[in-house]
Amino acid sequence: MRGRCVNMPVRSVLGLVVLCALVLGSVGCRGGQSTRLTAADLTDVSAEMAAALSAAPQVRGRTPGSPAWVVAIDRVENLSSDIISRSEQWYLVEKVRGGLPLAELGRSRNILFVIAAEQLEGLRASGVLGETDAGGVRFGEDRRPTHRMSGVFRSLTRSAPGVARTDAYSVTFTITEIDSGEMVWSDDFLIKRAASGRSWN
Amino acid sequence: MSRLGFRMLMPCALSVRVLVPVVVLAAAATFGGCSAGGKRVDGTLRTLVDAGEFGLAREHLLERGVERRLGQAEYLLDRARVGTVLLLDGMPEYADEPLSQTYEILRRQGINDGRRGREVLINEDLRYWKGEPFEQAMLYAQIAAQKASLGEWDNARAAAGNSLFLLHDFGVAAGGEPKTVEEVAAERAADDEPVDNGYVTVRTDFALGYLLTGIANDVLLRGAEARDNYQTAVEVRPEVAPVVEAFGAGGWDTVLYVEVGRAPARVLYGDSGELVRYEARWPSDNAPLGVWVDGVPEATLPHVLDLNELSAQARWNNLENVRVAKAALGDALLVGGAAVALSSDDEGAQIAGLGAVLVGLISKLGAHGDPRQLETLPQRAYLVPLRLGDDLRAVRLRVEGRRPVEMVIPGLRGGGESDGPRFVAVRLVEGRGVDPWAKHGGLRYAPTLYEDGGGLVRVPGDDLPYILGGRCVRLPSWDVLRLYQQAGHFAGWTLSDLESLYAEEGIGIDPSPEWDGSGRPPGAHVLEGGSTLVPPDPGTTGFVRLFAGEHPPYRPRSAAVRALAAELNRGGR
Repeated sequence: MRGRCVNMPVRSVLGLVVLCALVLGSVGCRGGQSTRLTAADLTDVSAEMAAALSAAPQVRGRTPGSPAWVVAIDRVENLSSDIISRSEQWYLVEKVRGGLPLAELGRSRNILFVIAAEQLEGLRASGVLGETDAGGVRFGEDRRPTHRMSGVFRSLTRSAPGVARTDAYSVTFTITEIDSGEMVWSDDFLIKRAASGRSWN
Repeated sequence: MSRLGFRMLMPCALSVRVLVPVVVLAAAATFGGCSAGGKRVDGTLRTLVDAGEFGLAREHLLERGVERRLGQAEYLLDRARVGTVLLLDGMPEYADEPLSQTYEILRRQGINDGRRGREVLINEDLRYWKGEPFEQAMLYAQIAAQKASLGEWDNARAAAGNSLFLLHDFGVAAGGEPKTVEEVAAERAADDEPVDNGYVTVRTDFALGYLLTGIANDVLLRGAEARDNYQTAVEVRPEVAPVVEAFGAGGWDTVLYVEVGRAPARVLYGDSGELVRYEARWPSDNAPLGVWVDGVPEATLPHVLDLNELSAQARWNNLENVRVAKAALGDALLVGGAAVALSSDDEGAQIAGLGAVLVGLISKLGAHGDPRQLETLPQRAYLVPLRLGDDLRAVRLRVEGRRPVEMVIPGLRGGGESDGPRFVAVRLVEGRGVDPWAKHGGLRYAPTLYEDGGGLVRVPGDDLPYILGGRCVRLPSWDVLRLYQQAGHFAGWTLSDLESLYAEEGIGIDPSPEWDGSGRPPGAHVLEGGSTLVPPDPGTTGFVRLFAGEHPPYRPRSAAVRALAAELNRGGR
C-alpha cells in the first residue's frame, strides 16, 4: 500500500454532503393523504343541492302566489365512515339555507327555509347561532313549518390492503310534507375521495 | 468549483487514512448524542396517570409544553397525550380539540412512506410518530369514547369503525397463538429476509372496536349493523359473548367504558437497542368486572381488550424489518467501507469507502428503535350496559384479579330519552392515596347544583366557597350565590362580585371548552392546587377523585380573599 496523499475531489465531497443531507433530510413531517371530507366538499354539496332543488319540477312549477312552503331544516345525520363535527354539520345546513339559490326560491317560488325550532334553541344556547344570521335576518322560527328537510351522509370504503383507500360519500337530501308525511323531493350528491400510502404509516 | 479551488479552500489537504478516523469520531460525537436524544417516554406523565392524578398530568403536559407545529415529529403524540388525559379526567368537551386533531393525522396515510430506506440510516425516533397499529386502534377507540361521551353517537360510530383496519398477519406459533414480534423477527433474521415478507392481510381482531361500533349503531337504531358488529366481536374474541348478550338484551340507558391498569412499557433491546418489545406493567388475567348499583349486584362481565396481548403480537406492530436490518446494515457498511478506504490505491474507491464508513457509522450509531409510546393507555377495558333511570345511583365497580381495583361512583344517572344513553369513560387505578377517594362512595365537596328527588343534593359545608374555607366548588351563578346568602354569607353581593373574587385569585370559572382562548385546556382543579373551577363530568374518575377525596384547606393568593377568609374566621359574614 502506498502512502500517497489523496485530495478529495469536489464531486466526491458534494456526494458526501448530499448523502448526509439525504440521511438528515428525513426528519420532519410529510403531509400524507387522506380521504376525509373537506370544507370545500361541503360547500360544493350545498351549491349542487340548491341548484338541483331549484331545477326540480316540484319547485319549478311554483309561483310567488303558490301556497307557502316553510321548510324546517334538520341537522344532517352522519352515517359515513368519517367524523363530521357538529359545527361542520351545521355549516352545511347554513350553507344550504343561506345560499343564494334558496334565498331566490323565497321570492320566486314562495319557499322559505328555516332551521328547525327545537334545534335552534340549543344552537343559540351553545353559541353556534345568534339571534340572526350574518345578514341580520332571523332564522324564521316564528313561521310554522309545512315541510322538513333532512340530510344524511353515507359512505362506502374500499381499501387495498394497507396502501390505498377510497371513500365514496353520498349525501341524500329529502323534503317531506309534515302533515301528509309525503316525500316531495329527494336527491343524492356524490363525493369521491381517494388516498394512497400505508394507512398505518 | 475546480479541484484547485477546492484545494484552496482546504489548505491542509487530508488523506483518506486521516479522514476516516476523523469522520468516525465526529460522527460518533454527533449521532451518538442524537441517539441519546430527548425523545423518550414521559416518565412524569406515566407516574401521574398510573396514580390516577389526571388533573396534575394535564397540568404537567401544559407546563412542559405541547408541540403545536403540525410538521413536527411529536405533534400527534402530544395531541394524543393531552386528549386522552382530558378524557380520563372526565373532560370530553375539552378533549374534543386535541382528539379531533389526533383523528385528522391518524386518517392521513403515507405520512412516513418513501422514507423506509432512509429510516435504515437514522434513528426511528426522528420519524413522525404515528404509533404502532395497536396504539392507532386504541386512539380511534378513545376518540369514539370521547364522541359518545358528548352524545355524538354518529361520530362515535365513525371513529370506532376506523379502528377496524386490516392487519398484516404473520401466522401462528406452535402453540396456536398469533406470532409475537420476537418470533417473527427471529425467523426473518434466520432466513435473512425482511420482516414484511410473508404476511397475509386479515380482518382485525380488535373486539373493542367492533363492540363500540355495534353500540353506536344500536343507539342510532341501526339494528342490523349493530348485530353484525356484535357478532363479529364474538367471532374474533369468543370471551366477549356475555358482553354482547348484555347489550343485545336492550333497555340500557348508560354505557360504562371502564379502563383498568397500565399500558405495557415499550422496551428497546438488542446490541444497540434496535429491537423493540412490550413488557407488561399490569398483569393479564381473566378477572371480570363486577358492578353493583346502590349495593345490588348488577353485572359481572369479562374484559374486551388486553393490551399486553395485542402489543406482543407481530400483527399489531410495525416496521420490524427496519429495526432488524438497521444494525446489520450498519455493521456491513462500516466494515466494508473501512476496508475499501484503507486498502485501495484508487482514489475513487477510497472516497466511496469513506462514504460507506460514514453512512455505516451513522446507521450503527443511530440503530436504535423508537422509544416513544402513548403512556396514557390502559392494560385492559370493559364495556357495561346499565339501566339507571333518572335518579342518582351509587355505582360500585370492582375487578378482583391479581391486582384488585375498585371505585364507587356517587351519584350517576342514566341518559334521557331525547339525548340517548349516557356514555361514561372511567379508569380504575391503584396506588398510594387512591382508596380514600375511590372507595368513599359519597361527595366531600359540592361540584355542581345536583338535584335528586326534587331537592338539592347538599354536602356539609357547601354554603361557603372552598377558597374561603367551605366545601363548595360550584361555578358561580345566581343560584349558588343565593345558597350562600341563605346561610348568611355575602349579604348584598352580586354575582359579578362573586366572579370578581375568583378573578382576583386567578381562578378560571369559564366552562367554555374553547381552551381558554389561548389554545390551552384548563389546568389542574383548584382542589388539587390548580387554578380552575371547571369540574369533570359526573361519574368519571376525575369527578370521583376531586369531589369524593379529601383535600388540604385552600391557601388564598390575593389580599382580597385573604382578608375575606380572615373575616369569616372571626365570625364575620
